[in-house]
Amino acid sequence: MLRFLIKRLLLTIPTFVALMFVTFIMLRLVPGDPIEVRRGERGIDPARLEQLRHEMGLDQPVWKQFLDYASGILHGDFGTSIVSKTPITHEFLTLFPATLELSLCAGLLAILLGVPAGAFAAVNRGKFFDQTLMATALTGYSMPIFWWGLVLILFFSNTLHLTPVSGRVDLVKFYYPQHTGLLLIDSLIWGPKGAFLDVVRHLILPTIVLATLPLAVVARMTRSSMLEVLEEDYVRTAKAKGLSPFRIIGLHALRNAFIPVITAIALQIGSLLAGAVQTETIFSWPGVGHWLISSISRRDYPALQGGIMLIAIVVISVNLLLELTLGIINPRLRHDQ
Amino acid sequence: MKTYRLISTAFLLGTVLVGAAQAKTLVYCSEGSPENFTPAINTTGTSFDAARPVYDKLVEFTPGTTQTQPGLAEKTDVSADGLTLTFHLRKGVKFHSGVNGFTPTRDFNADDVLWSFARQSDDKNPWHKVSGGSFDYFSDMGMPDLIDSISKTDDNTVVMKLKQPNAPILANLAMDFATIQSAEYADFLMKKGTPEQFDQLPVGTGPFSFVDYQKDAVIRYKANPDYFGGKPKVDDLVYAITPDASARYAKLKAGECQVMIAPNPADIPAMMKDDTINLIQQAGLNIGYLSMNAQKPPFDKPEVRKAIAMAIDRGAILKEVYQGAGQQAKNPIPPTMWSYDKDAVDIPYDPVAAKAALEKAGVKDLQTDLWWMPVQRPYNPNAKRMAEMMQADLEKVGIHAKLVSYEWGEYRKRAQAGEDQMALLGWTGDNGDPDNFLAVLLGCGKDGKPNGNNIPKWCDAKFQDDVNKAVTLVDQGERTKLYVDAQKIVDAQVPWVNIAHSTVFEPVSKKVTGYKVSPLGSHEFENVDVTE
Amino acid sequence: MTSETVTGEVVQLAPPTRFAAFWRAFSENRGAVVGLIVVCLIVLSGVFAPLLTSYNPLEQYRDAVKLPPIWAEGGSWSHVLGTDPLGRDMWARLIFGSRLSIFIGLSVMLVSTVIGVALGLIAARVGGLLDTIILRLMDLIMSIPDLVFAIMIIAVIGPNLVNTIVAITFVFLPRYVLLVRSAARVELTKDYVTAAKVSGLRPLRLMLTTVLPNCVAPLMVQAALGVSDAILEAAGLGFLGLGAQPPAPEWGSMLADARDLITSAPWVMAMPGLAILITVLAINLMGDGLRDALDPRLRRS
Repeated sequence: MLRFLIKRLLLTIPTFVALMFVTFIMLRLVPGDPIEVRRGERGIDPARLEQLRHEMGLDQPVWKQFLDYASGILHGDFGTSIVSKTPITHEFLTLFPATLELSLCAGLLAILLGVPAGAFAAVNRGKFFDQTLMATALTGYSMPIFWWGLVLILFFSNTLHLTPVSGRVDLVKFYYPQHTGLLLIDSLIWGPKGAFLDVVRHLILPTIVLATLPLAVVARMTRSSMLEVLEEDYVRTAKAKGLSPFRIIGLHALRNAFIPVITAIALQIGSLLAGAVQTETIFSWPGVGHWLISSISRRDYPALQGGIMLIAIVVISVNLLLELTLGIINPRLRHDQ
Repeated sequence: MKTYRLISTAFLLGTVLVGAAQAKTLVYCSEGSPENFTPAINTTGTSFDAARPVYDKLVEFTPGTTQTQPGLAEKTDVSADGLTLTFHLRKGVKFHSGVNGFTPTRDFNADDVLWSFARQSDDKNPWHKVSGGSFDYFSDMGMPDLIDSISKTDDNTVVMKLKQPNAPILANLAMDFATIQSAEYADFLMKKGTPEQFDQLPVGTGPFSFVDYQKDAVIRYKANPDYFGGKPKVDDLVYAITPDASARYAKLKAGECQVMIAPNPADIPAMMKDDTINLIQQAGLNIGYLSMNAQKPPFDKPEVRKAIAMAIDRGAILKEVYQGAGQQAKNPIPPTMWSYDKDAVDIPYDPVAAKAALEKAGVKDLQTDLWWMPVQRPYNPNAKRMAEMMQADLEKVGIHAKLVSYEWGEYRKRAQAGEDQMALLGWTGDNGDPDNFLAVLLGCGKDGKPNGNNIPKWCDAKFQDDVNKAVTLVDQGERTKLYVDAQKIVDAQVPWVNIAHSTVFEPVSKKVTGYKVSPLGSHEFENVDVTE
Repeated sequence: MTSETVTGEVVQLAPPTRFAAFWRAFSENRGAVVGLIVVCLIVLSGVFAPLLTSYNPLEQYRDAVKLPPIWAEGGSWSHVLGTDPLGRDMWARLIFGSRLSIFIGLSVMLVSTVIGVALGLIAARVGGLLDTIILRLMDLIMSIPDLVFAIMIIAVIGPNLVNTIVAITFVFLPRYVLLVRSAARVELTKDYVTAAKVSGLRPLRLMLTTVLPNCVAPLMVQAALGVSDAILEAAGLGFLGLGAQPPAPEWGSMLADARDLITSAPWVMAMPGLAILITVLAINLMGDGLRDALDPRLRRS
């Protein structure tokens, strides 16, 4: 087990270095100067531009800039944002909890709804429920989520006035310390009366939008792997033995069907974060995805580089963790590189 | 992180105390996160708005106008030759106490003024390089070439010597880059070893003191009871950062904020009908234009440029892009600015005559590019839509325009380098002076080369003489004559197509009183009150 | 290697009875058939767009701006689905827009299949260092959220239709490469491959004539889903203003243009989104049918 762990960890190193290299090179190729971009209508004096480029180290040879950057990262320094002049890690850490909370809620919703629905559909294969569910899941899978978000806003916020349209909590009514950055927890423990409900109200629409795709994937995945398991001999034997259907599905089938589902969920982490980019843009959610998009338009190189590196670290480590969990559940997978 | 927690605890205490006395809160739905809280190193209106409650300047713009009034300088004397300015500073002005663990030991004085300008002008100043050291407005307004020296004669008197007379200097000093910050706070942070906090956790003399800022979410301020202009009418000021205009509107309707910036033009009709909203409007100090590169044929011919102006249906653009929220422009400066040429005759929309004029000039089946800005600006709410309309109009007179856009910084750089043939752009005034439009946007240097911001790359000797002379004069009557003459030259030469001066709309809750829209696009809340 | 050779080989190896069996299985699935019909309709409406409307999708009718569709109050028969904020006919823009979306979807699918097959086969056959490098590269692409990566690529090469295709192809590549690689590795261990090797078949021929045809089934399913994913991704980029440039009637950018009208003229926003949803859903229905028909394990016995 340990050897497997070490091997996997070592394998991430080249990926990481390559990632650092690729983001670095790409951002140097992007047209548009991070200094120019902030100048609005006014433009900048060429001499002044040179001086600023020099101060930021942009006039150094590219390989030198890269080495400086790489050594910074090794020391845990991801650079400083050009726009806000604050360290990237600080910006990331203040914004990441918002993304984390949204993604966790969406992921949880996808699993809690998707797994039972998929299992139920499999057991009732071909019946009305199965067909409706699969049609719904496929629609969810085909949904352009930025449009979906706008449609939900149109109905629930603009027409019915049921949910707020943006932000994480009504900051004016509810102001309290945010120790964890996860507002559900903060508002429950430290928040004034009503704050928790308000946080939930703000979370509803973004969670639905972000959960749509993973929910469809999980439901479909659970259904198909359940179908496979239900065909297996031991389930048939159990059935023949007269075990109650609940026991068969709950204990035997679902447990075995769960491994491919977990794998599917793991593969969804990346797309969950990609979805978060769109969801956060639509709902003005103060998270990492929203920040990355605006960093691109502001040509904030350090923020982009650092942000992408940090996100990649999150994705890589989550995948690693899931792989390890699966390796523990099912030792056969360990050798299946 | 540690400082943040410290602040939030301090604030909690604050709310508990104020909460008992029924605090009045004003919430402003702003557009985005500020870059930081020091105006001198920023360039965006969003950042200026965020710093303004905290700070004062020597001279201030009277709210809702482009006139100036005394600020931290009670009185300003200008010498007869216009070369020496003497500022008599207000006494007994206190810096905010308790922000970031800082307690001022002295009142505001001349050292703070000297410090604030030295940080920008002196590259040997230890603070010059803190937070990147880019003092864009200071250099853009020509301060390094204009200011000869700044010195103090005593604690309450500062003398500024200029290299040549400059009519708009006082208005320039009312701009945000000339904000006065605390030298003592700077020393305090330098000793603490955290100079970068200076621009993140601001300490000023202004009507509100800074409480807390969460990126992309909220900025909080509380009223400064010792403010020299009197304590503001609201106790707490909150900026709720809401990038999406529809979302801001929804929040305003729901009472989650009382003032909002930049409504969607498409939502204006609904806002007008809304009983709970007061839709304040004011002619903006701006111009949106379509530049034609005078150095690239056939745009070097004034008759071609004029024909293009005739071919474009600006009435339709005003209706569909601005949703009627503006005024069709006939001059390069807005009508609310002094010296505006009222007698100018607008170029009519006449595609038939335009086509004939183009044919006469030998222009047929012209392939050109038409650049549109990738961002929404006050003077152009939707450049893409505008460009698509112009493209259709130009097609009708035989000009095939290809729409081009770049990322905003790149767009500016390339347009300044004159890479475009036709480009949409515009300008919002900084200080209410015509020089800030005419000389900056259409001026050329002594070498006969167009200034960077002269996007049409158009130079005219007579125009240049007028503008150069006018800036050194003090008498507004004489300056007006020169500027009117300059406008007549522009109107005859058509270096760009004047599109519109947009109207700035600010939807405000009916509960709000005393709010004034600034023609300069800034947002101020010291005189604003909320009734329950 | 071109895609023609790929399909050519399939036909050669697949006796007509196999296709008939596939078609029987496919047509049993009602959803798949509906999907197929809708996809055909969309493609036809794109191809014959000029016959289905008398309007030019770029013509601006300034006196009929933001006209609601016929069923809403104020609608008019002159513009059945209404007009956009510039007075352009919505129906004309939607059907001309389907050309763009289908074109993007098919191009991305073709290019990434070809490159994916090539890289996947190389990785599986050569193995060793090359395999590791290809795998790590795919890991790298997958560790950045695909939309963010696509945006970065477009930021470098500039926004237009072709570059949209390039960027999406790039971020979708890992799916094809990994799929082909793992399928090919399984095939390579089988007896018939060893037999072919022993009989002296050249490596390239071996991969193309024996291994590849056996990976075709999963590849086809992936390709079908690839088309719909590409259409979605392109619309997402268009929504952020990074896709086809104006005045092209690209669905995603039509949506983005209508975003400020969400309260005042919601139909302008609703319709392009609906068009995207229907197209993608139809293709996915078809893809599901394809998978069920090709995957013998799920086929009903």
